[in-house]
Amino acid sequence: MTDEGALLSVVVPAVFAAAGLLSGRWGRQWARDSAILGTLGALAAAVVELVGVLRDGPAASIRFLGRIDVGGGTTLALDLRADQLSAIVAVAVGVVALCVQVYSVGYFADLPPTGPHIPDAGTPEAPTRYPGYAATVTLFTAAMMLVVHAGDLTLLLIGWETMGLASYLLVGHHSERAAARRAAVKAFLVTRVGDLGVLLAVVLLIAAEGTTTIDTLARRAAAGEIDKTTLTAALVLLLAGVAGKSAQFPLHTWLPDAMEGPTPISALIHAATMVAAGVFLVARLLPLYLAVPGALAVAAVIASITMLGAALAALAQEDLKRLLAWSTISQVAYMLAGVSVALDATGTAPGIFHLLSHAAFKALLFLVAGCVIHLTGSTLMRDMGGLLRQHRSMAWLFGLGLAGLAGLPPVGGFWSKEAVLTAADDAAHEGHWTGWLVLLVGLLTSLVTGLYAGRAWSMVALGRDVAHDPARAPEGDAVTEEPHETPAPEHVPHKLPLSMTVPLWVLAVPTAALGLVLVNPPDLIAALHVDLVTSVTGALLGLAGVGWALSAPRLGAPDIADALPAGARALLRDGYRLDDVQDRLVVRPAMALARGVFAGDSDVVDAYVRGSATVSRWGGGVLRRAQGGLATGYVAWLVVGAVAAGVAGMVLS
Amino acid sequence: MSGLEVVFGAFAVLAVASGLLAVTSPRVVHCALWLVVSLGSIAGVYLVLGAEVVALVQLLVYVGAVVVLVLFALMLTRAPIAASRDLDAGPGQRAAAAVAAVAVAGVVGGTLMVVAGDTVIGVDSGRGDPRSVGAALFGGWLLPFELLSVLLLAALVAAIAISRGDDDVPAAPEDQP
Amino acid sequence: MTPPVDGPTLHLVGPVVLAAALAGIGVYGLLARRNAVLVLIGAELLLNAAGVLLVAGSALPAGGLAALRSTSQSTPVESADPLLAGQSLTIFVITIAAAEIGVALAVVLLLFRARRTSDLTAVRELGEASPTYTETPQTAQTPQTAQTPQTAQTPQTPDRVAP
Repeated sequence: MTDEGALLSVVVPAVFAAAGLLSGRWGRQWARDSAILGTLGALAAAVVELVGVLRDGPAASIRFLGRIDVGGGTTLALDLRADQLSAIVAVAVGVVALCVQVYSVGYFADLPPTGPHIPDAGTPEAPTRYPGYAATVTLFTAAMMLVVHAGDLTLLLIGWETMGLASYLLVGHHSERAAARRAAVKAFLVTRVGDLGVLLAVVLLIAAEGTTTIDTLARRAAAGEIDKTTLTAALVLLLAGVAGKSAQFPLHTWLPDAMEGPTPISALIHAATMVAAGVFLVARLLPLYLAVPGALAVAAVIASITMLGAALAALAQEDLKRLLAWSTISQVAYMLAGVSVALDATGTAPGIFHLLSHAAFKALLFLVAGCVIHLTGSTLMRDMGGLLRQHRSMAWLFGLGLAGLAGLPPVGGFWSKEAVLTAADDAAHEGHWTGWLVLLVGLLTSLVTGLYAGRAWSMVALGRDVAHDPARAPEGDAVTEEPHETPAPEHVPHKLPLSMTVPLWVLAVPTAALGLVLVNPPDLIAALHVDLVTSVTGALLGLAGVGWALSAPRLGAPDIADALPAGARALLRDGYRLDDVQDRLVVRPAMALARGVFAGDSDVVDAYVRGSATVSRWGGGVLRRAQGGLATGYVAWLVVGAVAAGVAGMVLS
Repeated sequence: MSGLEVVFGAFAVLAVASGLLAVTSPRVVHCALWLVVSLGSIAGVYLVLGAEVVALVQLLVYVGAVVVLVLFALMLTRAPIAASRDLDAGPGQRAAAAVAAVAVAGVVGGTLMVVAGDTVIGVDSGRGDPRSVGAALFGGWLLPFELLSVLLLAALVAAIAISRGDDDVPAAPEDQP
Repeated sequence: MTPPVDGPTLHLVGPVVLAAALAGIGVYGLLARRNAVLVLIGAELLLNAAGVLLVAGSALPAGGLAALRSTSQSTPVESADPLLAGQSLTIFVITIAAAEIGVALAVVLLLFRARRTSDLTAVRELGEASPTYTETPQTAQTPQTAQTPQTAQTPQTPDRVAP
């Protein structure tokens, strides 16, 4: 049961993705059905696997692609692995993916030409190209399932890279927009830099240990059989891949720009699954990381820097999606921090728990953001506002997600965030300096998180009434389907379809109630506990932040970020100008090198090619002079030849 | 030196001198006429060597037909009657031609002198009379003889075809270049 | 070295020197002349040189000079060549020369009709592709053969002709 579940959770979406990619010509209906069926199949298989694992325990190696002999006596066993970690994360991935697929059907429905212009859903004139999109999302689901279930680092790498490809395709889906194309390339290249680290780590491990099976490596590491230097090097290289995929400092610059992709993609990839894959990798390899404490320290430092920096940057964003993106970076840092302060093999619990709750509330936030963008036609927060008055249910959903983000009790986000802080506290009491670092930075970040969550709420849900804005017509509350008011002449009333609203409610359930799992937790998160002092401190800080943000309107400005000095605000909004730094350090030298190589090729190598042509032409010109056209000249050469032949004959005989 | 050799020497000197004049004279008609003298001297040489038929053929064909052809060609190509320096190529080319001429003469003469320098040949053995030549031509050399007649026919046809040009062919419409 | 042979004799040196001289003069005429017809005169002299050599050679026996070598150098030879190769070939040479000059002069006439000149240095480009080719002659009705060549593009090659 476990085996079949794990296998099917990878194979079913892969098959449907292939079918969808090949048969998109058959129309929207088939594309939609195949995508939803594929994702549904993946979810069902993951549930079956979870039931099997909870009942029977883990399955260490499930034959998938067999054995590959790579020479030098090394055989790679490309097997899957099903345990609680993979099963739970697989179910979460399946749920989010299904919600996103259903949501996308409504999101990409053909818009009326006079409808509002959705900034990240392309223009009404551009085609939505839904079939390819849906199939690529299914492909992504298959890849993520593969990463989650991989029992061998090579298989994991395959899934890892496929995810990167799918992410590139989906971020740049509206390729008619230059910004989307650039964002897709940036995402791909930055994560690629990290992927090089993963590849080098895999190579190192094959060279040193002769195997990449995770089980074997974990056993050997726990027994201390692996050379410390090699292992540290490999693990630090893997951290580079984690930093790239999970958008941690310094490879985080791609995530805010990846918001150019459609909002459902942001929900799936950049909130719930791909960015969590890095944390998942660390969690999966925790036995190895525990063998060399230096690697975990590096992870903790990276996570701390990212946590606080991203939260501050989110505070100054004008664009709702970019705010959520920076928030994602910060929250993923939370997850990574949670794993990095693990004291033993059960220490994956806080990080993974936060992964699950973040998947729920961030996906919810993104999907709600998509709805709001659909309604208002803009992604900038200053164009939104008064959501509470117009679409009450939508606003409450938004608030629920923000509460999870800020870690306000009793929603699931509170429990997971406090679990991380408690783990840091425990590590600190054990004497690890990383614990102190994570604890302090984490508490500070809680405050800032509350600040920007409250800011988002006050700007989107509260604030000036959308209805009184002459450019916008009051639209019916599509969520509870109250009757429409008379539309203004410019606007056609835009009703949000069911396919866009039902997933929101589905995701609201785990957002609110994930804490209930702790009543009877599975083994994976059984070790989790929440310390009273720490959690109260964290919750208070979060509440303080929210309150401070909400008090801003009373102080004059609806946006708390107006309190920041203008220079600091601009710096934060631009992400500390790290993009410029990257440009100067990497992009410009690379372009200069490329130009140099091109010049070398065209001026040096090509010069030889062109030179041969020139030489031939010149030689031809010289030889042409022999064809003087003068008949007696030809005769003269004849005579010369005859005389020479005669002399030669005389001499030689 | 026998008398034969004296006569031979005289004819030879005449041939060479008139040949020299034929190729260097600035007046075309003089060139042609000096050619006549040269060819005639060579016919004399043939006679001295005992080849009577060949001498006759030389006079008939070369002097009679070829030189006449040359004169006709000179007339048809509007060769200048007066002395003209432009008949010769530039001095450089002439110098080069002289060098080439000396080289050729040297090769031919040198090779043959080395081989046959001291040989003495008998010249009067009744080999050059028409009977012997006829027997040889229509005996051993029959095939080349017949082929030569074909060659002459071909040359005849070719000369007519070439020199007729497009006069009798309907002219193509004039096209502006 | 008076050979005991009956009949008049001749040293082979004479015809050889004559032939060599005529060949040299013929080559000079071939190379140094501009007028096409005069070039042909040079060719004729060259052919005559060959003829002289052939006729002189006809006095040698059938084995040629090789048979001569087998006997001592200064003994005269009996001409015993029944084929009369030398003389027959000379007749053939004369015939071929006639044929050749007929065709050659036909070509010269054609050249003259096309280019209104028989100056070989004036007709260095071949055919209608040459830049100086014209359908209608540019020169006067009675052109001199000695007109200045119009070939300004191609430099004079006479100096480069020398070996």
